[in-house]
Amino acid sequence: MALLQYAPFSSALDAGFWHTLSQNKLNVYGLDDTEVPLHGFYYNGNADGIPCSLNLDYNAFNEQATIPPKNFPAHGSLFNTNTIDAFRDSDKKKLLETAGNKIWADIISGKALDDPSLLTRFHLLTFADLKKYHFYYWFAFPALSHDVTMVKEPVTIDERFTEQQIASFQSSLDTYSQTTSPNFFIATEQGNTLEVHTLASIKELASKQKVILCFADPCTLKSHPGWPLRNLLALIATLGLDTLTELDVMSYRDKVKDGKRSISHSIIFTVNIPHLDSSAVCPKCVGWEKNERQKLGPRIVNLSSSMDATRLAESSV
Amino acid sequence: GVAEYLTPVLKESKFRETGVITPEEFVAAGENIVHHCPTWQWASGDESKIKPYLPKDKQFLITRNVPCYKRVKALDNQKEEYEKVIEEDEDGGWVDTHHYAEPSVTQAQEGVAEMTLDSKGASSRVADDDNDDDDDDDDEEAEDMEAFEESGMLEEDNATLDTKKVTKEDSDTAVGGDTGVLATRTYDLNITYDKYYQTPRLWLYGYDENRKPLTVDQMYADFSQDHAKKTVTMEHHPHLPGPPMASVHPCKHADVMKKIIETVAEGGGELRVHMYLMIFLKFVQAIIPTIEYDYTQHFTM
Repeated sequence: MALLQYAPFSSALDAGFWHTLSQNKLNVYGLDDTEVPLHGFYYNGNADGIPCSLNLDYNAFNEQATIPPKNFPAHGSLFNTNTIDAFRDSDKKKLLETAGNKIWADIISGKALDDPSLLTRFHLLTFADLKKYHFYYWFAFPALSHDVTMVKEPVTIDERFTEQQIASFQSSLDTYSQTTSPNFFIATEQGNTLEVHTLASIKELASKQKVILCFADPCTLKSHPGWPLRNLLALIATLGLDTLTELDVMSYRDKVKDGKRSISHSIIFTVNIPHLDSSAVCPKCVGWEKNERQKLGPRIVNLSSSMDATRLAESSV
Repeated sequence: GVAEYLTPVLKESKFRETGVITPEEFVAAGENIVHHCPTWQWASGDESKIKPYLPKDKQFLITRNVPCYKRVKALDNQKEEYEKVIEEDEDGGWVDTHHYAEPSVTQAQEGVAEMTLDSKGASSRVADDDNDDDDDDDDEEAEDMEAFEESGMLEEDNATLDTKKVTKEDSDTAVGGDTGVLATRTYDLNITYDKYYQTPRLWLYGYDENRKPLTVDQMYADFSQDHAKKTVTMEHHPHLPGPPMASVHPCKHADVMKKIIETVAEGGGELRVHMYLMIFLKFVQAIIPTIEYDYTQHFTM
């Protein structure tokens, strides 16, 4: 039995994000470096080979989250430091611990069961050098460390279910999506149908029948699920239900290519989830993003060629 | 449904005669795209830049993280045999790059294989692109990023998948065609309504394999070389704050659309305005043949 491994999120910021950050730094924050809430989003319909992007755009700072249709929310915190030294010296370990505690608290209180989007969080540490238009940044996608093993290797949804079952799953899910974000949910199998239910109903349903734990998966790999599953499984582990120890999981993927919708690349696998004692202390939290050299370290983006007014003037001649 | 929504706005349409569209027609054609190709979605943009002639929540269209596996520059030589010129003019006209077959897809896939197996080659190619910038005087030494990396304090975690490794294993065994996670350029594309030219307008924002913004010069490698410098311009996005973005200049869009409408009419068909953006996306593909955005509805010309 192999340890279940998750494809990590990959941060995807657009220029509008840095522009808004610069404006806010100049006009709102000044030297105030306290935590600022952010909104990010991810998509489960990426083209093959695209990493599990977590996107932030110019809307990230809005008070009310503006999540594009068909995308799923991630709750974030910005820590914008004032100097390069403060950026380098900030306590990364503590930051992640704090983030982990927040998720753990939401799991224990039952809040995350009712609003599972609370499981998907990110922390963004930045330093904006506004003289040079250099932006230093480092993302963390906090995940509670809890060893889960893969009992049965992934198969695609059409290898596991009949066409009729898949069609019924899709239509049940579409109805469900009209009122609730289908980021985390469960499905039950009855004869030729697959029915979708809220995550909150898992305790009640799992005591009566087999459930399939489902989540919208930004990962496109056939062999592995993406990051959002990780905290979800930590939550499941705290529920203390024996029927949930060995569990079927569906990485739900929904893409459209050439005007044709397809969920057939969704994968299903079986995991073994040891119980987590909910009265225990918060498990270790991991999740700092690696840089382009695959090391734990920050990244830098240089936008001087597009943001510097004098250089723009030169290049537009 | 969609058809009903369209009907009333077509009254003062000049679409058939001139190839231009009204904002209402733009919205109708946009609804059709969003319906058939939901990787495209409406966006409202910056509050202060809302255009009154478009619905607040339907100001422009956006699609994100579109892969671009290959540089057009590299493809240009081998592709000509598949191309069909759909409009001739003094500038060389529009070229329908995918007219005869789908070989470009295969080519792109081959390219993908090359890229995964030879990631060193890929990165050196990027480095070459960088050398094309003749104005690289900007970079006052940025801080040494290696100095920021943390070793002992942040421990490695066994449950975090090394996606680079998966890619390698998968291509070694080559099972089921799982391409793994690729080091590829991506683009965010926007379609706005251009009030002056009364046509849609395409905007592009590119990122390299590490999700760093591409410079304009780097992006030129993804534009058909016939169009790169004369059709693509840098301008301020009508709905977004921030720096200028690359845009396909719309001055010829109406003419091309008119030609296409006439071609369809000669063949006894009728091109309806809600198809406008589908066709628009098909013909801009001549400019950006390797950016694999979704647009297709199978229609024939």
